[in-house]
Amino acid sequence: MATKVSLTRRNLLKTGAGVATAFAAPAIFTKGAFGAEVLKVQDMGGAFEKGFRIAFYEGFEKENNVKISVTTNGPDPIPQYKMVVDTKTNLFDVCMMTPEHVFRMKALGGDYMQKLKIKVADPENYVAGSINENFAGVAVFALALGYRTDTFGDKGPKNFQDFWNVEAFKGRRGLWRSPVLTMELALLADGVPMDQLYPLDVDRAFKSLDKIRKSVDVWWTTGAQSTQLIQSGELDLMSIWSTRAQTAIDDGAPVSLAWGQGFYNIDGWTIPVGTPNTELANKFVEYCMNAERQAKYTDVLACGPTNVTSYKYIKAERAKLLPTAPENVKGLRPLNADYWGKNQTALTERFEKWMLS
Amino acid sequence: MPSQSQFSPQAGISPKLSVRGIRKDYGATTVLHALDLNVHSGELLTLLGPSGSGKTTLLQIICGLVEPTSGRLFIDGRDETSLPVNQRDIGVVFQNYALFPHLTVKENIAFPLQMRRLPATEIDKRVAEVLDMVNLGHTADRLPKALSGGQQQRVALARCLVYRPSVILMDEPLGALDRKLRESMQIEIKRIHRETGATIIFVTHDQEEALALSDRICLMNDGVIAQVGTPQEIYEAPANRFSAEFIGLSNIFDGDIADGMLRSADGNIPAVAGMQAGDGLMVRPEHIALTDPAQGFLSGTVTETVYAGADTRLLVALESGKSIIVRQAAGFPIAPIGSSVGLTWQSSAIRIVR
Amino acid sequence: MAEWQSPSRRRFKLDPLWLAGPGIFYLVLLLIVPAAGLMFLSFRDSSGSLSFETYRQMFGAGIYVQVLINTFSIAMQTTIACLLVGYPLAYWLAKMPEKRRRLVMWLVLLPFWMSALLKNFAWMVLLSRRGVLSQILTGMGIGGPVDLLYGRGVVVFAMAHTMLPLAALTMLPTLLSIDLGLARAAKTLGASGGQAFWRIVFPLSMPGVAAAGLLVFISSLGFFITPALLGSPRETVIGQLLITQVQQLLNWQLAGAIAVMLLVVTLAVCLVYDRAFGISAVSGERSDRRSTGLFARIGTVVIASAARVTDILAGVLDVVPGLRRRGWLLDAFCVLVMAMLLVPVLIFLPMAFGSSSFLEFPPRGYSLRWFETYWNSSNWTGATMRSFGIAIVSALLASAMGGIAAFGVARSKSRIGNVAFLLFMLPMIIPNIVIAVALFYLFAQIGLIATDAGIALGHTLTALPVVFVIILTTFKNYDWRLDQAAATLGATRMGTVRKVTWPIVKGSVVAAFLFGFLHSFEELTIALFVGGGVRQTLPKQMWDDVLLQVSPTLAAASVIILAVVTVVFVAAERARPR
Repeated sequence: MATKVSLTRRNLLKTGAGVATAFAAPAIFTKGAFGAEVLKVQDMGGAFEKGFRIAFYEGFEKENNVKISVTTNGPDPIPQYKMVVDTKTNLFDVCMMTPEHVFRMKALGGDYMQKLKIKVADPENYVAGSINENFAGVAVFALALGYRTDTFGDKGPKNFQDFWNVEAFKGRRGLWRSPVLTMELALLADGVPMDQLYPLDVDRAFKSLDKIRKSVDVWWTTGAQSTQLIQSGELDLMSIWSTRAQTAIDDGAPVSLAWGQGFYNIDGWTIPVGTPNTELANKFVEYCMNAERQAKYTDVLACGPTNVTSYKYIKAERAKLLPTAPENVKGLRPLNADYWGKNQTALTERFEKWMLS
Repeated sequence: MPSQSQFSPQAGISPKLSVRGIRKDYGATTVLHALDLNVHSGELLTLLGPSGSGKTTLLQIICGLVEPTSGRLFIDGRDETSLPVNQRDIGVVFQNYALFPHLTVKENIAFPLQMRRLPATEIDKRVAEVLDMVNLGHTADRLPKALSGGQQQRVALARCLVYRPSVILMDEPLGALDRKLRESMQIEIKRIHRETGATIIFVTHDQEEALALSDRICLMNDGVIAQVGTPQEIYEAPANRFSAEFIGLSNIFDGDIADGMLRSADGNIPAVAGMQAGDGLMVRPEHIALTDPAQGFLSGTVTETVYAGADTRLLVALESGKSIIVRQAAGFPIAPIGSSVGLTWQSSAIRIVR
Repeated sequence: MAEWQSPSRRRFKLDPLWLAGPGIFYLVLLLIVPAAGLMFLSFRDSSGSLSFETYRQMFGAGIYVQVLINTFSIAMQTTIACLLVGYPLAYWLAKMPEKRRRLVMWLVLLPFWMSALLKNFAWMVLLSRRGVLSQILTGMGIGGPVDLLYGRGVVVFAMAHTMLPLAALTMLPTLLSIDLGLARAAKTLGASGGQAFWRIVFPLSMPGVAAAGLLVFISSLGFFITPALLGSPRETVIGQLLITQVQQLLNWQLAGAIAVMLLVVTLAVCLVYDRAFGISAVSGERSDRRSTGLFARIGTVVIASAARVTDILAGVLDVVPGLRRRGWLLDAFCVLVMAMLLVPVLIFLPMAFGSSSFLEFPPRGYSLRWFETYWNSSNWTGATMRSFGIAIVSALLASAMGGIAAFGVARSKSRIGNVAFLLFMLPMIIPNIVIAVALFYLFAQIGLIATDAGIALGHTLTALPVVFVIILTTFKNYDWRLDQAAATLGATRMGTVRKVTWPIVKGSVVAAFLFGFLHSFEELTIALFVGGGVRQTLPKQMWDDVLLQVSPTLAAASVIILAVVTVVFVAAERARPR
């Protein structure tokens, strides 16, 4: 404890001194303490940062004698990413995105992400959609059905048909305030088979949403909010990202996830155009694709490794909580980044209009 | 100083307003020491005293803005000690007039009548009447801040007269006016008092104003009543040292009494029968005559002369350094500064003060 | 004011108003030009030719009009709530002795300078279905879990909570200027307490009420944090749409059109206000104009009935024992309001020291871990220092420009002085979200997006009115005869400024600087747009954290903010001349 206090005090002094040179200050903190080469990585913060530190950052720092400095993505990384490249601000050398983000970045036109130069030994072992020319996925998370076990006990909802059944499953409900995946869930609830979703029957989806609308108490907008909602018991059942639900579960909240139906998305690395550290960045990305290393973050971060051979290294007990575990991944499909990249703007407008009507 | 209850010659008639044993404490400090005072119907009584003497507190207790710590207040024989201010039949004219800035002159004057729910025609009639009385008919639709100070003062008076309260309280109402305006307003108030026959309690710290206006003066000091009486009584027969010093100019001599003489530091002065140890002798400046230095009771040197038209005031320094004021009526030659003079007076002009 | 002017001075007949020049130039360059540009843009299509396509799209989609109506009605409800609660509070403050009032005003203002973000999050924690309040109510046997969040009610409540200090403190000066003797005078003339209040005090306080209403309404129009965090989709407001259009969809035409629509509504409100009260009522007097029109007649009827109702109510209450003396009712009400104001600020203290990974109240255990996380995170410390730096620079710029402009306007005898005054008030009258979008539009063209300088320039713009008004008040109350006296005593012009003028006005200039600092330190909207996600200020970092993480690091950061705000605020209040 004593060392911690002194550490804090030192930082305090640093802060005080830094006020005078406030504009230069961020540089003080991101420069390596020992003059080692620095790789700037931007991840999703929180459990991601903790898990990745154990799995990737520590090992990579040691093996290559570099220092990794971590920053956190904003709620929507795209405007920032665009700014970073447009203004040639070297905020990060490697940045975490999803395939859908990559698609949207490309839609902006212009050259924002570098082509990756990495070698992957066993491409067949990766979950579909994990790797493309700009993107290397390392962690899978899913939008599934979360519910409070103190409300439902063992008789929790299993899929979104149950979710739509307001008689059998009484409780306060929440859905994502976004057409993305919410449209898919509405169609699944209406009986459309998983394999025949695309292209989406939008009118049918809205009709299905009309049925549940009165029973949806909260339309959540952000991940943090969704965690807070289920953790505090404000809601009894909701669509929620698995990582977000797991945060509440790990904190001891009586929450469980039904894996019967859902969609997964992938967090992975991209390298922005203009970084001075291209070589080191590629080396880092390649380092993260290793199955054994990916397995290490799962104790802290409830994401599924993209490399399914990782499960050799993961305890069965923990594995069943992860989206890419063989048992869970059966009910999941990847988010259709292609479809949403094309249709998001128009459908968002229609969805918002529906919300307000 | 003992608390005194003063009864006027008319004590037998039941008073309009009667203050009985009223006392006011703020925390540990006593602002008013159990006071007794009767105000007669139709009289204009002045509460006079230096600032901090408690006169405004007494006024506020009478109109109900402040509640006394103990004691009772009777108006027309009814105990109104704890009657709310708006239910008392009392009018107040405030020092700063307290005209409502967002209402016109007419609306200001109509306000108390509206509060009494008088019919509109009656209100109009009475407002017109009272505006005439104060000669302000032409300003009816103006806002107060478009009026001069004297006009504002008359509006405040009109607003009070319009509902014919049985007692009118005036809290230093002329304090903000210049001298000339003040004097003409004094005459105006006297006229209105005479015309309406209202009972008026008038607060002031200006003794000349008190002497000019009052039927009776209630002189206050340190939360007690020093003296109550007509202006003449108070000026000519001050009951105590405070009265003597506060009202008008006075010269007071102290010393031991022996052989019918008061032995002051500056010489012996003939004493008056009934004097006791500690009493002083008072002579008003206008009663002192200047003579040859050898002939006066006392002698001294003129140090300053102040010319004031109708008379001239001289400051005369006695041997001990004590300064005496002498008033010389116009027409007499004025002793020049530095000349030695003797002071003398008629024994009837002397008053005992204790 | 008669002034002595020596013939030699008469040669320099330049009106002191020229001193407002730099500030006016700044306002035109950074506010009027980009706002006009944005407006211009909204009437073009993507190829650049004149077109109403954007407006057709906006009104055709339906949602934008619906959202505008939402925004308008939420702002209206917030304004009414603020006036109803703020008026008694201001009245209560006005009746206090000077010393105590300063202390209580400090308590009222403290939550005002705390970011709305934090307060809203506190409500999320406190009012949740299984939160403290719900538990208390359940414990008292009043129903099961209570659904308080995510609706119009809580949005209006939280917004009114944020704006209340602004409302109360805008009304306070007017109430203070009312001679309390007038109410007493009314009572001696036969008015009951209710009559005296409604017929005398209330009409006299109307200019303050109107000014407070206008300020709260306009600030509410640009508010998006509370509806986003505490509202349901039905509480979507225009600010949220603007953020989506600009940041996610990069649709400039539509963003411009929405901003124009908001601006038009705001200016329309100002115009109505001007018709009813005279816009100069915000700045000064001019109450000679007596309205005899419809407004006045309605006012008379309203006041008469309010007074009658109060009388009847008082009559009823008189019968109830213990309610004959009712002064304590106002005290109790205001103490309750003060407690409500402070609760969301104070609950961050225990939460910051909590050991759980969530924001919980009350926390289950205590630790310093979240402070360590804060100190060890370059995101947080970097943002904190950037905020300090930007706040210092903006406050300096704003005080310099606003200060000399205030001097010029105060000394000017020109009629243009009033126009200059309104111009300096403009950043307060235009909703800040419109300013932010306009600045983004301008800065994007000159490469100032995602720069610290850009944020600082933006903060300088919005801090200008605050700083200008504080210093202007001082100069207006300054007795210029002192300068003449100094001159007659042999002081040179510089000597007079150095030895007489400056020592007297120094306090308020320092206070203006510190309030400018606070303004920038707490500002989110401009930082959100202009920072571009690259230059994170502390409020922006917190906004992201609220959206992404909601870890108790947020609480730790807010405790640090609370400390900074308290220190700066106390310093500013002390510097202010009494």
